[in-house]
Amino acid sequence: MSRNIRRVKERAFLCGVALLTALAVLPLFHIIMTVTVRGLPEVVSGGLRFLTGTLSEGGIGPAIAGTFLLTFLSALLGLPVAFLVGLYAYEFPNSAVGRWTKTLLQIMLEFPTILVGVFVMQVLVVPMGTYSAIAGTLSLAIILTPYVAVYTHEAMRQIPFTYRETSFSLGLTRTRVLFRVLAPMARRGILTGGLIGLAKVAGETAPLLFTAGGLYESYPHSVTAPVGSISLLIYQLVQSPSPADHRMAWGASLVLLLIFLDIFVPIRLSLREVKL
Amino acid sequence: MNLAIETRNLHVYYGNNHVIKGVDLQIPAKGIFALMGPSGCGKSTMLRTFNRLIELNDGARVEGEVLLFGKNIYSPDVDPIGIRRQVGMVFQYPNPFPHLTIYDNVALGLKLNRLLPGEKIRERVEWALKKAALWDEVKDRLDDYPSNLSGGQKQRLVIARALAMKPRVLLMDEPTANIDPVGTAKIEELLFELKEEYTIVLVTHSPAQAARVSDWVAFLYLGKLIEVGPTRKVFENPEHELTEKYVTGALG
Amino acid sequence: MRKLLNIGIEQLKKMIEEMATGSLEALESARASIEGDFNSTEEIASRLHIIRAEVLDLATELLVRYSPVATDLRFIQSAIDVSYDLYRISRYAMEIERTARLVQGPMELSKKAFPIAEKAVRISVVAFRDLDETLVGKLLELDKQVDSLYILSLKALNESPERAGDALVMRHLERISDHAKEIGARVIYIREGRRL
Repeated sequence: MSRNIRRVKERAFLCGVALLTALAVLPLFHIIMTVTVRGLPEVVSGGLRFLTGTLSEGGIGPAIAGTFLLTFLSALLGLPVAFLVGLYAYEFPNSAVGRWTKTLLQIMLEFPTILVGVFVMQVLVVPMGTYSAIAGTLSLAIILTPYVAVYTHEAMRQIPFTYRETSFSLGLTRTRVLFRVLAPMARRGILTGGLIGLAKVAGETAPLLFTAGGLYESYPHSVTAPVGSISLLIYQLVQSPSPADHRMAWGASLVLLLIFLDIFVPIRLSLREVKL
Repeated sequence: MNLAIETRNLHVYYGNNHVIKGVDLQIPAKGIFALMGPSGCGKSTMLRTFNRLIELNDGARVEGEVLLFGKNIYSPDVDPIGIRRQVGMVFQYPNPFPHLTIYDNVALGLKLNRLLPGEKIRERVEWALKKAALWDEVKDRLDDYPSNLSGGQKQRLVIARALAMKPRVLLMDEPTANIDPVGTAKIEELLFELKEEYTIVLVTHSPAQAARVSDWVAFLYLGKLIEVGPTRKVFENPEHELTEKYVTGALG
Repeated sequence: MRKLLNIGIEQLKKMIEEMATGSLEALESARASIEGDFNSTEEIASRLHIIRAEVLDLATELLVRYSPVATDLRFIQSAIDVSYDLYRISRYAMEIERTARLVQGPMELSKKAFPIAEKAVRISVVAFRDLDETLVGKLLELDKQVDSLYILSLKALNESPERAGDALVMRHLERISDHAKEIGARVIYIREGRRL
């Protein structure tokens, strides 16, 4: 008799958990579904013109270019710095700089991104007198760096101590041990961190509000000139009263979603194969 | 008697923990010198003072002298990197670098330390793998990754990696603790061959292994050196009661 | 492993004790025979021969299984030797009985030497049982006494061939006390690790 009661309880519990999981995941699927349903018609009807044309042509081409440009430049600026900072925090955890770095990185991870934008505005936009790709890049780099640095640090920390001992026992210098042996061992984790960081900043909006400016009538031609991005464009379009603009916003949202998933999903899938 | 390693009043502290208490040890050149004792007695710690690897632990402090072929390796003008190139080490868990091929594993020390020009490296790698009795098993798959090797083969690969640097001393920290009995036997036979040319310091968890393999043996207990002598003597008729208890299995 | 080895060692001790009792019995019987009272010393010797083989078997098994070291090793090696000594003692006892049966003549010196040899064997057995190395000095003394009596018996042969029986028995007694001394040497080896 009690066996049946146990079975019923187990069933009920599993059902409950499944339900809650579904509830938790629901918003994500709802977003994906809504964006696809609302945005697909716009993209399909616009076709190539939507993807490559300027705003007056009814397209978001410059925005896409802007997103890629900003992501690429912030990667160029942020990734090396993040890598080195992560390594430093790993190698010198007990130094003052090391300890502070770890704390600061944690703070910056949660820092309001709009404030980063404000900071860069004061530091670059105001002196330069114009919005620019550089300013946007700097904002995004500031957000990217702590992410990648923390991932790097964690990836390094996961290397078993015995490999560290072995490398030193071969008479290698500290630099060589770090850069020629240990970092390559952690490369999967570091790379993953880098890509995740990039996927994140590709879709950021707030940091670009006061820095990048927006450029949708022509393709980006200079780093000291304003530049647009898909997320920024969506923000702009939503605020306009025109329903045509709103439809375009849905289309742009779909494009952004696709870019994001295209980076993120393969990373997550390949993560399962990470073995040290 | 030519001494490979000598410690004089060696003390090691981990923070406030006094781990090695005033050890005076003399390790003759060539042959196998075993360090045995129950777990936690400090033998692995002491081994790591012989190549200054103990410095990788922030809380570790070393006092006293450790002489490598007559020269104190802890004097302030000595560079630990140079010492480590003369002293090879093999660890408890076979740890070839998983992200490097078998060839690259053995060549790593040579390449990164710029010890040999490119062409000579290949010769040395083959020599080292032959010396470690692994060449026949891997000569056709030098570009393979070590993940496909058995535990015993991995450990022999690690030995080849250490031998490639042509060290004068080989430090071994319980090298067969995680190897199956057949692999262990192969490695013990290898040690027997190597001891003609190298000084091998072998930390072992098993007094039986020390009895089988070593020429000299030292018994460490709670950080103190209790007894040291030729293997035959220490196992046939130990001087100290603690040693007697340990080798007959009466100590935990 | 320790426990199993100990069980084996206890077993060895028992067997040696049995052999010790047997060889003392054999000596008793041999002494009776030089007084004219004959017994079955041969039986005892055969029995001890069998036990000796069992001791060898068990010792070998312990060595193979447990690779003993230090005191354990020295004890097992010694048990092998001592079992041989005890067996030989019983054999010589048997020989004495045979000699006494077949050879006539005075057994003066033998009668004198017998209690000394017997005492030596008794002491050696106690020394081994208790692993008491302090008794070994006495053994050396007693062996010297038997030895000098033996030499006397040899010299007596020059006086008269009738002394032959006595000399033959003395010879066996000298061997017996020599084996007793060897047992003592084994005790020193077990206790101190040095060979005498």
